[in-house]
Amino acid sequence: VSGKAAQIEEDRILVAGVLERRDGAFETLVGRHQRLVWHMIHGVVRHPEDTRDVCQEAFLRVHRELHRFRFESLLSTWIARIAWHAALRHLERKRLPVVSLDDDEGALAKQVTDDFDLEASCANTQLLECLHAAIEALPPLKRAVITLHYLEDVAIGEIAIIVDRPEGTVKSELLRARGRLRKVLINQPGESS
Amino acid sequence: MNEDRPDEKFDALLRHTLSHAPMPEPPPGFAREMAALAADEPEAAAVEIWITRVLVILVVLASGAGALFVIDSIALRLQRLLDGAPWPLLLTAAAAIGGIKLAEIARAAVAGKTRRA
Repeated sequence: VSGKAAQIEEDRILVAGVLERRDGAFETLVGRHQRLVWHMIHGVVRHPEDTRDVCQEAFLRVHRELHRFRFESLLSTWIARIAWHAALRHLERKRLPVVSLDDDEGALAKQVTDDFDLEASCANTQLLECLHAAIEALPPLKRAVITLHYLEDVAIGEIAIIVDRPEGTVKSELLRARGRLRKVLINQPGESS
Repeated sequence: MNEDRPDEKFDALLRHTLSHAPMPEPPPGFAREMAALAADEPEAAAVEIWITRVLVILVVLASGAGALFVIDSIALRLQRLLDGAPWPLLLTAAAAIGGIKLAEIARAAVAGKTRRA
């Protein structure tokens, strides 16, 4: 809790700096959050040039709307939420779906136990490549949830705020995504399930 | 109970995969570029607002000028249309509806005050 309080305090100082148009304040804000925003948007739009355009759109919106930020969540969550919606608008423009229908994968994730050698799996570059390819092949919402949770260490509650879905939906998306990725592990020769 | 048990080893493998996978990173200088874009934005917005205002004024002036040409004929037509209207009946109905609406507004205002108190 104290870590979060310290983070909010830091956010307050940074936001005040941007609103007062202090030199370098917005650059600092972008520098602090660009990795999260870039990863998330790329995970949804899948195209380097589009990623750049959508990131710019997202940060310009952050700049325009910052005076409305009420510190009810972390600044990173608020910014990621704006980025998520910018990415969704991009998908809408391109008429691409955000979710796909797949219901059996959560069940699969529950069936499979942890009977595999973690160290050997981490050293197995072919397996890691296959897993990465499987993550890349996930639908946008699942990919965003997996990336935010495992790469950026964002809590489920914060992810729910970012993607504007109930926590239960986020948990279910995470479970299904894990189920799909589990298949890759099961199908690898030498890996037990 | 086991259903909710997190698959810790698989989670660790996913974390490892994602942190070691080649992820696209923002280009160097992106933050500075964004700061420059954001600094230019108020100026661009100010120009857009100024153009919009000029356009609105022009549209109002053009509409007013256009109306001057047709206003006489519209007034004549309205007069002809309304001459035969049953005015006492219409005014009585309007007064009754207005009275009912005023009573509703007053009742809502009193209820609001009571709730706040």
